[in-house]
Amino acid sequence: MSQKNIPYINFELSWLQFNSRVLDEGCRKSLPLLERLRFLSIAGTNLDEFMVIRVARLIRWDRENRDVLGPSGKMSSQVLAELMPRLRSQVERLYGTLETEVLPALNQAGLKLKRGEALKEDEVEYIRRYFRENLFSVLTPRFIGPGDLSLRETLTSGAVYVIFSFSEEELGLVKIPENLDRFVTLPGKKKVTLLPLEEVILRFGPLLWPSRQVRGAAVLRLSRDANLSVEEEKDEDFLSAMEDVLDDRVKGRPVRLEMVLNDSSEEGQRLRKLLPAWVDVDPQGVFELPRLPRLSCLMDMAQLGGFQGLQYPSWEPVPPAKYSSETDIWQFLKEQDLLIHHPYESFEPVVHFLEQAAEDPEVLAIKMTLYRTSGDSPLMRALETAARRGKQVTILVELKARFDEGRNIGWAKRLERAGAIVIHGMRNLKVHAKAAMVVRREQQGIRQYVHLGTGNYNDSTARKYTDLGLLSSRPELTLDTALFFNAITGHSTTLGLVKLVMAPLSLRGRFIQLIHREMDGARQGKPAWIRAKMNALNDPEIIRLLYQASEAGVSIDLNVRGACSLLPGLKGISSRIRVISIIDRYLEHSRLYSFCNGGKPEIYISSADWRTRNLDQRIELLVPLEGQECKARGLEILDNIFWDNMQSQELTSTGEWIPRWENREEPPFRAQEFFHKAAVRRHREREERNRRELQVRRKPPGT
Amino acid sequence: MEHSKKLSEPVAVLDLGSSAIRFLIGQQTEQGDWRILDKGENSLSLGKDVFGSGYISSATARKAIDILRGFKEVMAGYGIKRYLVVGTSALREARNRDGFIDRILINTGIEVQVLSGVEANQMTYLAVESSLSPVLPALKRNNVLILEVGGGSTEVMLLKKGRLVASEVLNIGSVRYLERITEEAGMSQWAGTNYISLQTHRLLEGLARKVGLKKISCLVALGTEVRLALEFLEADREENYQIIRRERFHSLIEEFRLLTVDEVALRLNVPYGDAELFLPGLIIYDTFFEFIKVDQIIVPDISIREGLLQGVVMAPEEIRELFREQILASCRGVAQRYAAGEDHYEYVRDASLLIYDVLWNELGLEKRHRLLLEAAAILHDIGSYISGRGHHKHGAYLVNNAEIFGLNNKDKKILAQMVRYHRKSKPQQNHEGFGSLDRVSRLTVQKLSAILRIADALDRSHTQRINIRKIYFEGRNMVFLTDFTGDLTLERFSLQEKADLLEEVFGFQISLRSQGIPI
Repeated sequence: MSQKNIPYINFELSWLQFNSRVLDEGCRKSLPLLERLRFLSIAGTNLDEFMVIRVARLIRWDRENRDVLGPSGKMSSQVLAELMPRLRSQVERLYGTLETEVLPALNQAGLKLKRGEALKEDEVEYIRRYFRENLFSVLTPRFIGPGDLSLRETLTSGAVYVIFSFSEEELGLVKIPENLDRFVTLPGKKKVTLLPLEEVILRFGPLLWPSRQVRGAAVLRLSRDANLSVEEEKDEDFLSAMEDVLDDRVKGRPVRLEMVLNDSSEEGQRLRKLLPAWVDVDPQGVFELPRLPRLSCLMDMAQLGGFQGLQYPSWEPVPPAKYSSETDIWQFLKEQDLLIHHPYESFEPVVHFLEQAAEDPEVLAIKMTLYRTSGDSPLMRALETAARRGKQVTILVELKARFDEGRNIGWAKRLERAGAIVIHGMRNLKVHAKAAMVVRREQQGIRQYVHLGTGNYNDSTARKYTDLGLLSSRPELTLDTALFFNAITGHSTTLGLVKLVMAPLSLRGRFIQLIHREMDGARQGKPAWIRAKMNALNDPEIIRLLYQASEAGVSIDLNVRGACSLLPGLKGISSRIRVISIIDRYLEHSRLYSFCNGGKPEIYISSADWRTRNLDQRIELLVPLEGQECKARGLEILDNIFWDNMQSQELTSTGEWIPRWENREEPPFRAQEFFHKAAVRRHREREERNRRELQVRRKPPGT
Repeated sequence: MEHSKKLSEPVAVLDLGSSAIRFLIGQQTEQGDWRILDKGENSLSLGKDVFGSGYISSATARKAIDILRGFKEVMAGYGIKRYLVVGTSALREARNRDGFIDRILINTGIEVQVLSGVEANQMTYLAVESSLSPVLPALKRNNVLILEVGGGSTEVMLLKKGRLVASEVLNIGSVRYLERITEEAGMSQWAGTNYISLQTHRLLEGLARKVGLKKISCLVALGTEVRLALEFLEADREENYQIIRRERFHSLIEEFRLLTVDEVALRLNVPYGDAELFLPGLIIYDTFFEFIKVDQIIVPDISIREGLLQGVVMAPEEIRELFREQILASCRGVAQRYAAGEDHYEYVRDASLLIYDVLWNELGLEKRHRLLLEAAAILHDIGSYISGRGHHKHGAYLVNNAEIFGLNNKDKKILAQMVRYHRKSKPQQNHEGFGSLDRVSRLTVQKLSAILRIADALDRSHTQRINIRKIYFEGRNMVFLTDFTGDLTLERFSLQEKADLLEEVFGFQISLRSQGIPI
């Protein structure tokens, strides 16, 4: 089987299928209504990002007359041609579900999203006052006169605008303030009634131009190509180079125009025709929506208080078993490793780890990578404190983390001011690995502690994404972590890692070797399997090898949340491969790789997917789970993930995804619920034990 | 918390080698072994500069400063106070090395010490010993060759039944050869590798003639290239080392011969600069392996730096003491090579120690002097190999130029002067070798030669017939009591002649008495 002709699903098309699975959740009547709304919001937000990155690139190539052959054997033009109609019908399904199912049902349940034209008189009065008192002063109206072609340049990517037409060549433009809630809550006792801000502006916006006669109006949103090209050669001042390109993103080439034009008048027709030309978007990039461009706003609605019946019951993260906020983390880690399964188990120990390190006078140094973090991150504050206290804080801030660049630049500057050593990423590589190390002076000498994980150092997403993190003080892991930091901070060019495996240097090779080992095992008649969970799978070399392994007798179970270019179940090619995908209340984000190894299973956690970019263009880590307890737990987690038949879909040999909750033979099993309950049970058992053992808090007598 | 305990303090070593600067941070455990906390390396073309032009270029010096500053940052993260920074062959040979060392000191506050080949050997030996400790007893029953191929030099140590009989530093190394091949414009890769192999072979033949390389049953190989090669060799892993097979190693070279440097870099996952050295390095190893024809080769997980860690926490004298047996074995190896009479020099050694033990306090001598005295006793007659006439002078020359494991150049200079003055003329300021020593060393030579002369005089007959029972003092008279009842004239005459130094410098008279019979 040569690399060129392996069965391979194009990545963009497969991604669209993933988003369709998210959308499926929004369509499932068995889900609570606001959860459905949440999934619709996620699907919409996903599409936004997909549009400005993946589709934007295809469109750019198309405009530049570049036709690029992909690993699926399709040319980029062909992909774009196949993609756009599917994308359009997905948008239609999304808004269709919203308009015809979810919003009406919510209305029934007492939560109404109103349209401007349906307002009652007292409501009109209310928003008139709202406009005058709350909006008027914060709006920045802009007049675009005859011969002024600046509409295209003016629109910020992703922002929602209301546009008024005055005469043939005169326009008024108002941006919906992004710092305000998107919805105004209208007065009323029985129901909660919400009105989107654009409806308020549509109604009273003309007051901003008192001397003009409004002929027509529209709500619109422009999305621009967000692929950045930064000069990688500028090492010395990469931070300012990044700031420059971030400014460019706002001005990238337009790729999509979303319009709401509930206007059948002549002027409405005229705008429908002219707006795309004014902003220079091809017809394939124009989407006319019934209402509500930028569906991220639905997230606020989905999280409204007072509608618990329409939402999933709350699953509060619990502390990992054996661990409590009073645990002396250093003592604890001296005795054992701690594997944390987020978000079932809380992110607290990780925060504690860094906070205690920042406060502890015996801690000498802290090193950490930062890919994505929250705006007001307790981790970053801990690092800041540590640096101010004179500890050596070294942090690699990935300035190229897409859409978090701005926030990361902010943190980079703040930490630098506090005295930390800040490294602004690496040339041509994104540092995606998640690792932290604390160096502590103890009675027996220096001891290092590490955290190695699959998820970002982000306390906010740690409540929503499933991830695994390992805290350990095993010398073999801490030494490797130290070497890793030397490599990414420029102190060493050679690694010599023993336990950890790092991309782009040796991760691909190690995976290939591990897959080969299973193939050899299978050929020798030993048990042979591969079980892996990742966010996406598209690396042609890995896929080809998995096909070979399948036919060599290795049974392969893959749990791929997002896009998957591998085609399972093909006779003679991938007959022993099974691919499932879980979409549930938490975003599946943990990466686990397990290999049978002739009956002595090995399991690894990683920051990397089996994607070409992870293996070749990023700094990633693969971490073995070796302690008996952690290893058993990792294997158990991976095992259970495949039992899910309530929130998972399976990829067929024809490239379609089939929900596993339909025609289910086995009893229902929902992996995320199982993990949540297991975490709670372990936590309760521990609490129970603690209650039975009276623990007195005092110094030992005589000290 | 108490940090005063010596055990708990991490220390670091930095090593400026021919192709890279490397660092290692370690901490001694309660059991006395080392736990490595951190390490790293950054390429630096010291060897390329020095083996090419003889000088370290300014650009290289700047880069060295940058790298060392970075390493200082890493060390600061561990609160390191004690560290050792050494340079090996490339730095040793650099004509502008003093300027380079000053520049580093000014810019980084780091003081670089240049390690002699022998000192390097010593550190390597320390590292090997600790790494192979579980199998050491077994190894000590055999003849073992320890080989470390570096960028500028190759260290060879030969142990026969646990005794170090030879310790040599050969001027062959991957960077050195690469430089030479590159210089010879138009030399193809094939010709280049053949050249390396021929040169190595030539040196090996010389070494074989000198120390004898037969009946070696075990080879221990260290160095960057052999370690890089492990991945391709299906090595057997033991706890602290791996075992590779000679044939497999040999065939690996054939595989890599066909690759370009870029391809090598890709396969090894190393920077171009390291990849370039891979094949030259492998060929040096291979030439050794094929010459010695041992089927299995032990590759320990360590480098000279692990040994250097020990060097940070111990004073040089302490380390020398640690190597007492090895140093003496190495001296005996040299003595044998020059056909010195073993019975005689062992007698002189014993007698010297007897004298030392009664005089050390009086003369203000320390333990390290005792070792030097022993070494000089073993070596004092090697000059006779060249000619009996003036053999003390020939001996001094030979000692100065011999590879004696565990002794640095300064030690050897003292030793050479002791050999020089074990007979005939007393030390004089206007003698070239003696005059060039510093004051403390001159004093050492005087005191120790004084002892050596007497010990040698006692066996003037070279028959070891004078068995000393006791040494005691009668006022300023130092009395040697022997149970030999025969004629003592020869010895007395000789003593009279050779006790001059002791009498002159320290005011002691010497008497030799037979038990119970006064003179």
